[in-house]
Amino acid sequence: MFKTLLNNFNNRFIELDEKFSLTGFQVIQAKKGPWTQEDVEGFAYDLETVLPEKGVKKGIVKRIFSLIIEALQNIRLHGEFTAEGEQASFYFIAKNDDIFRIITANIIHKDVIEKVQARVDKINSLDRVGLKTFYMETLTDGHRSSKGGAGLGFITVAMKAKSNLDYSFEPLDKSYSRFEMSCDLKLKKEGD
Amino acid sequence: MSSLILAEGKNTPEVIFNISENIFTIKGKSFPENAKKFYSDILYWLDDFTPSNDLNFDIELYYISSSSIISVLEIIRRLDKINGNGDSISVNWYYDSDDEDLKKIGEDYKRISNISINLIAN
Repeated sequence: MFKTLLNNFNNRFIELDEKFSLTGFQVIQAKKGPWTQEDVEGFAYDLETVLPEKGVKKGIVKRIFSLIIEALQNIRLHGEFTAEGEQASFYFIAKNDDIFRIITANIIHKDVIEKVQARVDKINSLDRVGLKTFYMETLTDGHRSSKGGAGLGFITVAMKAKSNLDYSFEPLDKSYSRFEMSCDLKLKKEGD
Repeated sequence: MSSLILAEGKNTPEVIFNISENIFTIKGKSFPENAKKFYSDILYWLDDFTPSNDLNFDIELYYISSSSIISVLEIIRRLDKINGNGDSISVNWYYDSDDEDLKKIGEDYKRISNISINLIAN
């Protein structure tokens, strides 16, 4: 099963890479997991070098840095492992003239799909003011898991990207699915 | 009570709580994977802290993850508690002038705490 699962991730990684190049996107960074915390820091710090070289403004660089830290730490905390102990996952950061697109993928157990879906659907249903209210409620409610998370991860990604979080669950077997999430960050402010 | 000094790490800020010189700063970036764990020592230190002078608490973070945002809020709440109804403690929240997210985080802290928080653009 787990070999199939890894093949699924590898195939999807290749598929997305091709899709990006066919649709006018330039892939800035793409990595397959598992990653260590040091890896995550290294990827983020690489972006601090690579993005300014492409003319990306400091404010956007900082925002993408924060987004990728948030997304990858989230995967490290919550992504399932294969029987061999590997946390199958990947991510892409790609850009065209208008947007940055960030796609992440990890393994998720069927028992938590409903909860994750409900949370992301709620985030997507809120306008900017509603999202801020939800963020403030979550920030101040004081609940934290043993892993140190507090449910702010998805909200933060949506707020920083200022876009909905597109997602899909692709069943891999009777227990596990591939959870893929995508968000777009506009390069220019509305009205520019 | 001794001062608390933590050197800056790859994903953690420099922390200087120097009692004798009345300097209190948290500076750098903050995105440890387990922020709760990193900040627990700082919160324990603050639990035992009684200031003898007025003090400014300087927080200057270049990057801050969502879990660190919660931990820094816990610090501000501790300071709020120490301050009681007084005005002997104030927080200076420094932010990069082109980083609207960091500015908003400071504004959020200001909204949800009683302590005086000054927002200062670098």
